[in-house]
Amino acid sequence: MNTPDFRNYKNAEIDKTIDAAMTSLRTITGNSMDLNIMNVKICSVSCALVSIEGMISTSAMSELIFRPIMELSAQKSKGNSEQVFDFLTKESLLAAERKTVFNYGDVIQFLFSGFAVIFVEGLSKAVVYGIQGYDKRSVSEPASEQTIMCAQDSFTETIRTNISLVRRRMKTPSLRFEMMQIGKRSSTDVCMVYMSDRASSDAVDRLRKQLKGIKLDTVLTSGYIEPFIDEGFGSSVFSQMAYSERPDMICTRLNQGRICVFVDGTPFVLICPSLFAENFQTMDDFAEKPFYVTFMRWLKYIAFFLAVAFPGLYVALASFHPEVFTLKLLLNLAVSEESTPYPLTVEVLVLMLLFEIMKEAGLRLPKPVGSTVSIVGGLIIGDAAVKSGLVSAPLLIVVGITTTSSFVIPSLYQQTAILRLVYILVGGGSGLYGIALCTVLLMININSMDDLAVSYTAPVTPFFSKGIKDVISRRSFRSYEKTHSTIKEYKLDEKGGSQ
Amino acid sequence: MKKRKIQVAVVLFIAAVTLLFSSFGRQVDIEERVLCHAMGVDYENGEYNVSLQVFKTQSMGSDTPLDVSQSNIQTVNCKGRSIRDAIEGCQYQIGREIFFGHLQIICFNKNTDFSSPEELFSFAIKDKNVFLGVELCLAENTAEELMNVQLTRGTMSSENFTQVIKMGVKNGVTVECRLIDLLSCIRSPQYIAMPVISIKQPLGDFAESHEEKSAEQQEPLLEIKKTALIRKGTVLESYLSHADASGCLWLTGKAEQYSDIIEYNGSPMDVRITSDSHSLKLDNENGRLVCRLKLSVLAHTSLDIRDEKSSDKVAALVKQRLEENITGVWNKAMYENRTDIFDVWRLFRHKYPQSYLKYADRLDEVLGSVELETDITCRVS
Amino acid sequence: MKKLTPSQFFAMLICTRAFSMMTFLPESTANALELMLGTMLSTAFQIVMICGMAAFHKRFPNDDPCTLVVSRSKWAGRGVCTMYLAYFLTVSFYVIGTFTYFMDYYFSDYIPRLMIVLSVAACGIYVAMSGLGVIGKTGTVLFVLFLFVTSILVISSLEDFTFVDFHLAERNVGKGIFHSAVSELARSSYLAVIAFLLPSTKGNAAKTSVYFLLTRLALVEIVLGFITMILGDYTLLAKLPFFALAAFSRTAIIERYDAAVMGVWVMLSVYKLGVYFHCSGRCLRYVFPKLGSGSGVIITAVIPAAATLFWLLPHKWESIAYAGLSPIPLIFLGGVIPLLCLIFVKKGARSDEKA
Repeated sequence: MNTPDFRNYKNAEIDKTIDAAMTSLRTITGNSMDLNIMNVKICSVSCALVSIEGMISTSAMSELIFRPIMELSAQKSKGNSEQVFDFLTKESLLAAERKTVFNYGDVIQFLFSGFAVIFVEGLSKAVVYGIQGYDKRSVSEPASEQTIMCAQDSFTETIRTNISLVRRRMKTPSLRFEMMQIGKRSSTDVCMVYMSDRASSDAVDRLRKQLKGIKLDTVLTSGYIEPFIDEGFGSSVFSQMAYSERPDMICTRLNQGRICVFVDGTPFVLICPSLFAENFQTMDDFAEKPFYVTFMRWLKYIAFFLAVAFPGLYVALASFHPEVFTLKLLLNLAVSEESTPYPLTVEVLVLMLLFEIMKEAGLRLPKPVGSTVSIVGGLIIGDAAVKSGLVSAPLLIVVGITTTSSFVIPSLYQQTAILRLVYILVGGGSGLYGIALCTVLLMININSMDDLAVSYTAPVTPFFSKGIKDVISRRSFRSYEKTHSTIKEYKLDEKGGSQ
Repeated sequence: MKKRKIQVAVVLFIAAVTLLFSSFGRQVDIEERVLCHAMGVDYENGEYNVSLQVFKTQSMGSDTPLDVSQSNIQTVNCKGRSIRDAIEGCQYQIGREIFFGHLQIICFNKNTDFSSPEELFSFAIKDKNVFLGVELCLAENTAEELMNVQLTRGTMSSENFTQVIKMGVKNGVTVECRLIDLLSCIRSPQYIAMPVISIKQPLGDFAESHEEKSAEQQEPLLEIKKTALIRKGTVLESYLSHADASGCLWLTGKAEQYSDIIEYNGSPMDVRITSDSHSLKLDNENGRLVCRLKLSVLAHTSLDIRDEKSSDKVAALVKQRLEENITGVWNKAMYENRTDIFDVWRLFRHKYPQSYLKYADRLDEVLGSVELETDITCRVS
Repeated sequence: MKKLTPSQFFAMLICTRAFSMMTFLPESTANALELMLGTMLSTAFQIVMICGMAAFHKRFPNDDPCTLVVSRSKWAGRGVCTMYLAYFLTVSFYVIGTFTYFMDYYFSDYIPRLMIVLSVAACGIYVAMSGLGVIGKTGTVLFVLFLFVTSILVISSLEDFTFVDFHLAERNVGKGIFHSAVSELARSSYLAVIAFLLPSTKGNAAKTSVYFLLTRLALVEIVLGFITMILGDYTLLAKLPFFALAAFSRTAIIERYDAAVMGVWVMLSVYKLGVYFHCSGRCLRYVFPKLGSGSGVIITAVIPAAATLFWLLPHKWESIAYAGLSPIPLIFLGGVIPLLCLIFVKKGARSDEKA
């Protein structure tokens, strides 16, 4: 029998003899230095314990596997392969996770996932034990979705830790976890999570099919998967998939009938489908009083409008429709623009691009050097540029308001950054006429999104009276007590009208 | 599917290119415009002399705010056969496009012919930027003289003109006339009342008595001593006094308040009268048109009036004063000058359309025969 | 094909009518009260037409006149589709031309007419290609925007209005009212859209149409009323009275509203074009079934856009703008054809029915 290698190992059956099996493993892994093989006799039967350096917990291995095996060997000096295998699989509890594998594909998959594998002489099968002990980041505060009055834990890069964070919050048997491996080379663990009594079965089936159809070599972040499950990824400005690194947010969405996709190696979980209005919701909304939530919600809507349209509107109105400004404002603008050398559109564009450069620099710089960016940005570009007459002071205010507003909704940052530039160009090119046309095109683009038969603009359009309260403010908890709405209510029927 | 994507991409590309480059090189940036706030038009010998007060800041810089202690204006003059012609002449002088979007006031001289507002204001009608609520006024001497007055009160000089008119209307000493008021009856008889602004120079001895003369003290003041009557385009020789103007405002229901002095128990007493309710109706009593005014006012006195008898006396005096003012202006406008500045003709057209059509060519006659009946109630607060 | 909900259908029709309302061109001899009374008369007549369409829809719930006649006879169907196509193309032609004319009037120094035609037609094509469901959803948002802007306009003008400018001092009031009713009917191109899109709407589309007619009546009367009460005779002088009213409205924050109104007007014009391009694209595909949906829309957009240039570029559009459309094609498409279908077409086997 030919020794399998890395090209054809997936379905190759495990060799019966230990030597042959170890030879095959070495060939498949290319004699990798991190492959640990320990030959041991258990009840006089030759066995081999295989693991990957740094992936397993040595203390767990010695306590949970070595000790019981040695005790067995001490009690029973002689035995046959089947007896040893039965002990390993049925008569002992050497680890919480234990499986029997029959081919090298599964062996490699489990080995590289931090399992230990025990081969038994004479058997064309092996047993794997989950005793992972690789280094992983501990649960910490979320980096991007800060809250004041809610949980301060977030997901990590380890999928199993993330699953446990969700499971301990939703103690219901209807919560389902479907694990699969995606990526021809990375075999990344990807877990589809949903509530069986809340999520649409059609949506679940469709998503499962889409995930299984991904033929990438590697899947390293959730972003790799998104284009395959978001139908409008290439044509829509916005995305109908949301990301979150908060377990409480994921649990909320799961309870609303969404399907979440966990990807091993990234703390950001995909939520599908998501709605446009949900970008303005945070977990703090559920911890604060409704009147304050309403105020903050509308502040966010205003912030989004400012972040996208403010500079473009300013350019359009100042260049084409100055009659809109009140007289005193217009006079101050005229005074400050009098000495600047470039047209207003160019000024705004340059400032916005400078801001994006500084933001990117601040993100990529090492932390000790990060403060330099704020000094350069604030003093040199801001103050000096105004004093030297390159840009006007009102323009800096516009840019300042815009950039601050854009940080209010981080989940839409990509879209606001690009749309802002588009609006500036169009506003400078054809005034409010161009901005109006651009807005219509954007509205059409947003309204075209209906992934998994749910319109992205629901519950505003199509209009749902129950859901609209969550757009304006937050429904009261007493209302949640009576009826709990799910995403299925927003599902479009076959002919595209709302149900 | 691919074909559709290509089609969509091409369509969006065309939209993008046209939007980005549609006004390429044509738009006028804010600093390339000259902002005009006030306009003066003097009509003499078949020519229009247009004087424009345009914005010109004394201090300039990208981080420098507007210096409100300066007048911030420059006056530009030009003559032309039409106002539009003269405006273009002004543009050539300045070398920039003049922007009328914040035009606040247009002053005319008394020789201006208002009989054809469509022609006279064609520059405003055709220009979408001109605000329809622009104030119109007459100058005591010439509009150019008014435009040359440099005032530092307010953000810029022209604010003073509109503030003087608005304060005058609020206190019942003059009648407001806006561009829309003129244009809204463009196909109807032209009866207009327009405030007359004059310049009041500061008192010479007061200025000399101080060692340091401040700029503010040297500045002239604006005042409205009278209101002009315009009948079928011509400014009449007869003017409305402050009392007449207040009567006109009470009659048309546009009065907010009016201050006067009445003789109470032989002494002068200040009274401030505010409007409570107003209704003006036109009735036909056996072929006789009667205009019925029902007015309710509140009188605020400078002295405390405690008893009912005194209160009734004051109320009667106020009522009498109002009746005098109202009747006086009615007689002056309707009978003496045949100028219906109270919009009675509109009431007539609204209520008796067929009669209006019948007497359309003899409207002056009909309006000249309308009688006025007043029913004024005054309460002393 | 995605269906419209009743609210989306309602919003779509209001948006298409709102454009016409904002682009209302009064004749120099028009009287506001006659226009308002004429609108009421026209609405009553249109409700009667809707009843005929409702009867047609009840009998043939899954068909519009085009698909019904096509299913019975290929050549008669093509004839009917061509009539609808011609009307939709004509309306598109008017919308593009009128829009460009007024945009040029207001912004003549900035944007050439050719660019306006190209940009608005391209955006209209994108709207049409997105599909009826998306058009319906967008209409809801635009309707709210239109209501918001109109409400601000009305509220900021409240202190200036007076009722005395309403009058019937005209020589022949009856004739004036009748003439206004006919003009209003001619402007009601949505009747053809209703007849065409009834099967694409969920719920009771005829009832929704009647609600739309009544809402439209209320809107038109309010807007006309306010324009007259505030602007008086100037209404007849201003090229676009709605804009003139917006230019006169003032608040402490925004000096003038005409720019904001212009923004909404532009959006409504593109939207209306999208609706008519979509309808005409569908008609063209009934006539030429092998044509793709995208290609159909593009062709039906290019034809009217190119045609308008013949009048716009030499500055001759004013003669067409004030001529207006005749109501006869509309009565034919919205009333006569459905009626003839009701009388002559039997409910039964379709010639194109597949097993």
